[in-house]
Amino acid sequence: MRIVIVGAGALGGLVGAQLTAGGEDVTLIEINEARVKLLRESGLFVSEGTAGEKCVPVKVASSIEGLPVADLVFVSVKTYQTEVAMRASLPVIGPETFVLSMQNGIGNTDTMAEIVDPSRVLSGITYHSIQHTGPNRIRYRPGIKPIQIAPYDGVVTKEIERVGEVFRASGLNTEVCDQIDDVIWQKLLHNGVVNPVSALTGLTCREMLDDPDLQSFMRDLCLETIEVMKARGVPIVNEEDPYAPVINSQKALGKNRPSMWQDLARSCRTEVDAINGAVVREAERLGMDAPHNRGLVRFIHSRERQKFTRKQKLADMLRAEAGAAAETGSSDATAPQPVNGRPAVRPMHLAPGGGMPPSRVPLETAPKLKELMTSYYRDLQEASNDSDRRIAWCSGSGPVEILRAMDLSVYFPENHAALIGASRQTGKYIPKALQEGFSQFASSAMASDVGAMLVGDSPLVSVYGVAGPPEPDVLAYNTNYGHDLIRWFEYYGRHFNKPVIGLHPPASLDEVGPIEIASAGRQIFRLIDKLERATERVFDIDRLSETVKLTNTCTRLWREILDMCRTTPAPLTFFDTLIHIAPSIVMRGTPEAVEYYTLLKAEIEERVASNVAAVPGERFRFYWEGPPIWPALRQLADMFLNQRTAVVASTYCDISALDGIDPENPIESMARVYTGIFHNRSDAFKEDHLVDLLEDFGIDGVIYHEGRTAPYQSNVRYGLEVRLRRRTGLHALVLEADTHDQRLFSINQIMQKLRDFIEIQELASSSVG
Amino acid sequence: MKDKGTIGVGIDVGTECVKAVAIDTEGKLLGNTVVARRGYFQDRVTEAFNIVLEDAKVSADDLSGICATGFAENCVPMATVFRGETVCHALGAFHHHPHEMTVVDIGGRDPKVIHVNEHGHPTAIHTLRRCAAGIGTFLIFAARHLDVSPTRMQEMAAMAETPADVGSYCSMFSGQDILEKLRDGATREEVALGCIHSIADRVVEIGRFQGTIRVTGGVAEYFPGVLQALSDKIGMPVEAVPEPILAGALGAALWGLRTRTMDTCKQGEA
Repeated sequence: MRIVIVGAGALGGLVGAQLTAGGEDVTLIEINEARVKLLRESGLFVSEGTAGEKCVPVKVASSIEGLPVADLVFVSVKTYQTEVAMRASLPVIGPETFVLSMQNGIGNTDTMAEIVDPSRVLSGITYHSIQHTGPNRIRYRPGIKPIQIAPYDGVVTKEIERVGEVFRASGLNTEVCDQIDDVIWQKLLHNGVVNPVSALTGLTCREMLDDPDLQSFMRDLCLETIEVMKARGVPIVNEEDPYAPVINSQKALGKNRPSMWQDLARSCRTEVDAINGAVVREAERLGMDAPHNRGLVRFIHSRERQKFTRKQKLADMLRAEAGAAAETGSSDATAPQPVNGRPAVRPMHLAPGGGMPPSRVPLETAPKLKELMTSYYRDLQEASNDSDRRIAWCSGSGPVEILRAMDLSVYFPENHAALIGASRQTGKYIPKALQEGFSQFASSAMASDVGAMLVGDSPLVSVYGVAGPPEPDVLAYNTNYGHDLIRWFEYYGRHFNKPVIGLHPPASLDEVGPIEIASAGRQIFRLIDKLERATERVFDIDRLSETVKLTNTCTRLWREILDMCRTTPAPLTFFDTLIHIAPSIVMRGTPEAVEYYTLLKAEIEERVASNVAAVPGERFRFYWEGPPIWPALRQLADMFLNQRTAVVASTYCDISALDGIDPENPIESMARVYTGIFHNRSDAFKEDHLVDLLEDFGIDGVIYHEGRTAPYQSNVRYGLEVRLRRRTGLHALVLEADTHDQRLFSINQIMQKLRDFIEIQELASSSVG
Repeated sequence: MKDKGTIGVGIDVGTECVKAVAIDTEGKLLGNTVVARRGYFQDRVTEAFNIVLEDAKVSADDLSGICATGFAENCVPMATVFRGETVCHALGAFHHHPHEMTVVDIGGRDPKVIHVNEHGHPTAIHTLRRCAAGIGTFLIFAARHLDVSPTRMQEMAAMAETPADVGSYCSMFSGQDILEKLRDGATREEVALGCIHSIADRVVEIGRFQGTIRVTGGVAEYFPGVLQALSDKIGMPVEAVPEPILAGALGAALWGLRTRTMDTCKQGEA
């Protein structure tokens, strides 16, 4: 049978692959050129549940042009694209061609019957659960019931039976019936209750089940739709408690979110008109009212509009700014000036292969990052030249909010150390720290930073055109990212003869309870007291609320950006986020950081909406556990890109996604958030958190970095890899390396190991025996 | 090279030796060679390539694919395809023992424990540390302390009843151990056996042995005592594949053949 499938999404892909494998002459039509290319090159990989994968060499075209008339046209586009897709397909639709829809909702076949002979229109329904696990991979769970196909006009002919036979012969369990209107309504009941509520609240099915208010609303909504169905004459599955089956389907979906949420998250249009909109129309036709459904349609439309217009506005703004920047030319960094009373710090140059990795698919926002960071370091330099301003050194994981609220200018040694690490010059500096008495097993981030200061070099000179790190008036650390930081700050405290004040949020907790929050909160009060004395500044709670409000927005945006890497293909990788995380550490609590992440998020949303991949042709998705290997970033980024493997998430970049920091309650919420961050938690918590995360991000393999001098950040040191492998069955690789000290590892050996690991993934996912 | 060739060649450029293997489509071994590195990689690669063709009595025109693997695979200019050593060792071992198994590769560099599935594909790989302890290169270095040719060290060790205690944490520490044991009266034979045990200790640390164990790599070829020591320490039978030093090159040769027929080996190009 000659079959044309319009839309190579999850459903179209699966049906297309099955029919192709069954020997039918199938052509998939897909408008996304990148997808066409990928599917042509690699074929479509299909797996049922956890069973092995098969690769189907599907035939894909980007348009209908040149194709002969088909026996069957299978329409698997979004409901709102049905009409356009049908009209575009007319050249392959002859008088004998059947057109079949298994799309969501109601009204698709009506649209089709307006365009072609209604006796050739077939409507179908499937209960398969199909997921895209990669750009060219589909995993599905067969439905509890077979696929059902029925003629639009209710007359089953031999030829229609033949369509059913073809589907069955290709392993698609299919029944031909005279009508499936009832079952379509029964399925719509579920979608109409679960989809819009999840899309509007952002909750997973499991979370909705736990929310009594939502459950009572959903029950009302369900009963409203049931009344319409009854009036239409649709038999009700569970007459006594029609909502019970909907509860079951939420349980079955568990942590998943339905497609309508996914559409909104990608700033795409939803199918609400064909689902809840269909209920409203049917109610009107029957002289009834469906206020809940009508309300939801309006809410969803409003969200769609907000998503579209905001995206459009920001895109215009970005383009305008890019144009303006091109006209004025880039501002060159001024030469470093000696600072009063201090010798000028020398610039640090990159060793070959050093530096931050460029993204191969560049972000328009990237030049803004350099601008922003330059202005941040310039301002610090001004502060250090201004006797009225005070400078605080701070750890990356806080308490920057307190310092900023006290009008201190904040500098971060860890950011400085990361720049030194990426420059691959640590071999010059670490020996200097060893002479100062540090062990070679002490934190190499600290040793390189201290060593660079002793030598008198700083990457800030060449990268941002400033005179080097500003001298502190006070140093404040937080131990939630590791206790080794204490020694680092204490060293500088002695060196500059300035007070060092620390926060020690209770560590290694499964649950963060009121006792721990109270303890961490009292530490914050003590910190404030000490800071007031050390800096002669007065703390103001309203200033803190303002700062925390900005932090809240900044870190929420950052979390949303990280979460967008759940999409396939990922719009960003670990290596991009490592660069773009900087403002969320050094500038959070400022409007500039909020503005930056608003722009970045808009750009990433654009990417997601138009399917731009950070790693073109993404094949595998990895998770990076443990700290970055700063000196190897460039090589690692290049290697992953060449291997078409995206590292889509990391523990490290979670550090500034501080969920729950609250301007209404700044100190208590800071205490809770500082105590509750991943890095500060118990192994059991970390394990559970990662199990969920690996699933949410569709991870194929986990890379654990054991940083030899970074014990606090290297969870693999305590068996996490073995425990997670037992729980998830995911492939994993342990890299023994270091955050900064290149003498402790071999980059070539790491590359070899990673390549072997990726080859294992390749073999595992290809069916070639 | 003609497209119609039917011979696969694998070249495994290790840290100590260059290994080359030629096979036909039936998987029959036509020729093989092992050439010591002796200072320079690329000359030895050319040498090994010529020898293996001669040994197999074929010419370059008969080849369908040349797959390079190993530490210095980039020194194989004639390669048509490259594959990592984990995959090659797995395929090589599987050729001899076509079942699910654990492959232990002990060559000049870090030892690996590789789980291989029923298709001959690796499913997991485990290693430990960059350090030189527990590797063939360490044994060569130890042989110098004992004033014996590395290839005779196994013979020497066979004469000892009990091994001298040589650590497996760091090759410099182990080097110190060798000298201390000799100073304190241990015989050269006992120290040689101790060194062989030290290799096994490092492999034991990696662990994760399951099912049948097959050992590949040069150490299994020249120091079979390591296998016995390993087997004693983990309480499981340990066997080498036939000609273990060639396993990586054999796997590469199989891959070389496979690429022609299946075209599944596109390296990710930017």
